[in-house]
Amino acid sequence: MSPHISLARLPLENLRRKPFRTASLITVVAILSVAFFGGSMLAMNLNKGLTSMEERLGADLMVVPQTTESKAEALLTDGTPNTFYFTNDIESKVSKADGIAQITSQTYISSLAAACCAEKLQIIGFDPQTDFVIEPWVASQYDKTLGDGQMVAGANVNVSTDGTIELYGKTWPVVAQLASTGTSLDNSVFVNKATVPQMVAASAKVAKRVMPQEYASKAVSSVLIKVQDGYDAHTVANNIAKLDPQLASVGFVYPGGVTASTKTSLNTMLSYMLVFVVVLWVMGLIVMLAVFSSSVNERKKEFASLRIMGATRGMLISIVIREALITGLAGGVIGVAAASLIVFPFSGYIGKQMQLPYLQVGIGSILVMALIALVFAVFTAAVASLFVAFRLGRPEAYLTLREGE
Amino acid sequence: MLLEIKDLTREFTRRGVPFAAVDHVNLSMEGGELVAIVGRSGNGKSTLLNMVSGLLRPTSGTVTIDGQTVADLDDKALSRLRNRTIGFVTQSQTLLPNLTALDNVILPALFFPDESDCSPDESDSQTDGNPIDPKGGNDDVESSEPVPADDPDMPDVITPVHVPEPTAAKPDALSTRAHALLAELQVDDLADSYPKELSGGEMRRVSIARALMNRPKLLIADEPTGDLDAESTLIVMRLLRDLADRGTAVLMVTHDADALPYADRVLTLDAGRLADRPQQ
Repeated sequence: MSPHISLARLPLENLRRKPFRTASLITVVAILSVAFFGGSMLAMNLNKGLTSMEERLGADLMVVPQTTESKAEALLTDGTPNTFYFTNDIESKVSKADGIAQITSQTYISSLAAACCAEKLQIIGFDPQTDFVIEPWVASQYDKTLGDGQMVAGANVNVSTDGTIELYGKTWPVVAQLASTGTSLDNSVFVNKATVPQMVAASAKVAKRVMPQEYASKAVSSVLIKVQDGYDAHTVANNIAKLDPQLASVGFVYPGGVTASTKTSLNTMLSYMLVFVVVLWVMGLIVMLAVFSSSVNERKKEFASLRIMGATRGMLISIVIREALITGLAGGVIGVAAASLIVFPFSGYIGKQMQLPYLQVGIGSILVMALIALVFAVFTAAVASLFVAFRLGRPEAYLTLREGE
Repeated sequence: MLLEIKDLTREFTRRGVPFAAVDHVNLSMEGGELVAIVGRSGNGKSTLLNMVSGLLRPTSGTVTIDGQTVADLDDKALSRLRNRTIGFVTQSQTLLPNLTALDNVILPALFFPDESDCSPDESDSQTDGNPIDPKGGNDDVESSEPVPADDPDMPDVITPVHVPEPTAAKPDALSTRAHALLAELQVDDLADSYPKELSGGEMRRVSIARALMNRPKLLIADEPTGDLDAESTLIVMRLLRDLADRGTAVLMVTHDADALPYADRVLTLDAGRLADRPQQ
């Protein structure tokens, strides 16, 4: 003999015996939850990517060869690897300009499709003695000075199990791998400047030489500058341009501006997402209200019957609310699960498509957001159901019964 | 006096014109009495019954049941009265569509479980169609466990339910009683059927079983034999008569001439006014 009905089981029976209505409501809540949770995760990941990018861009000004500004900007955000360089001693010339607090230089080489990686790597040569951009970051993972021939790998670089990378037919030891930044720096390897000529020589043995050997030891792709307090990056750029006719035509990149423009793009996208989520929520609420209110007539008789049997108004409200809570929870769980199946496995692809720094937030934040999404789903369903509860719980049950006939 | 109706009136408005569906009605009933009210459709019979059970508010007048004035009761007390003291068989089909016949019958016993006494009568174990013994229902209610004081801070929405879990091996008291009632009305074989699988007459009999589940002191029946054939009418009317003989007050509205001989008194309701039916 199966156990008889209980008040706790009554809402479940009501849902079970109306599968189409129940499935419709759960679907609406699930769609809302996908939008809410998925949208929130995207927003959080983009925000984290931006924060990470800001942290990585310690320079106020980058001096780069003429017409290579966009390549340099791409390096800071999420672009493809590039090779560009000055052929003269630009750093010492630039350093004479007024308003410079710190100065260092970097060399950028784009590798071929390396055996280790599915895509091309950006090789960044930096000077550990003067660097103020990469070194503090590397120091968080590797507290020794980077030796000649050694590499520090970005988060997405595929380092073999023996801790090496094969590049230009040569095996390079990787002493540390950095945390993810959500930018193209994740697909970069970092070497000291003395290693750059070794790389150039190695490239000549397996493919086209990446740059002429005579430039290998002195090529500088960008001069990075931290300006003194009280100086503006644009003022310092003007100062540099005035130093020498040769410097008048160099390119300037303002990482702060890159960050600002990225932030603007991000904020625009976040605004659209917010509007999308709000519109979807309002539409979802309207649909749920429509489904609930269309069930009012159908359920008038049912609820009048309960009143006739002696159910209090509180019991009726409790039944309706519990049905809504079950519906909301089921829809919320399905929605969060569905959004997770899209957002997490395709995180890399989404980041690439957005052309914005995109960095997955930690598990703690994900769990908190999932919980918020579930509460949101349950709350939405409960709000929509209150309409029914109060319509059906009015004192004169006989009139409700007559209306339901 | 179990039921006392004093000067009861209910007005409605039709096309802007007020009219009294029930017009200054007075009626008293003792326990053990079976009163039938007859009258043409639209003369206020259902309105009267629904005011008696507190499902409709009177425009004026009072209804007192078992010493409690219905209009003075708050929602919870009125619901308890409806659940524990009154059994109501409605004119229309009001079984819950999502529950089986058995669960429909059991459901009223779950609303105020701390007052429930659905321990099976001796006859509750009989499922062969022999008359059950509804006697003692009133006494049972009187002697039920004292009601624990309600926590004033706890809304009744979340009042804990203390229904003992039935065991798989042995049917619980509620199931046993519900089966016995269904058997008495010869529909126990339909216990696991849903209302949409039942005929009108079968639903009516399940509704009567539901109204009797909590052993009411006052049974209100609006056309209890409305959908029934002669044989079923006989079963139902014998049951109602038996209930009255054992102390339950039965107030019945009917159009069915076959039901009238079972009544102690027959009243007419004409244009909302109640009167003794002239001897025929």
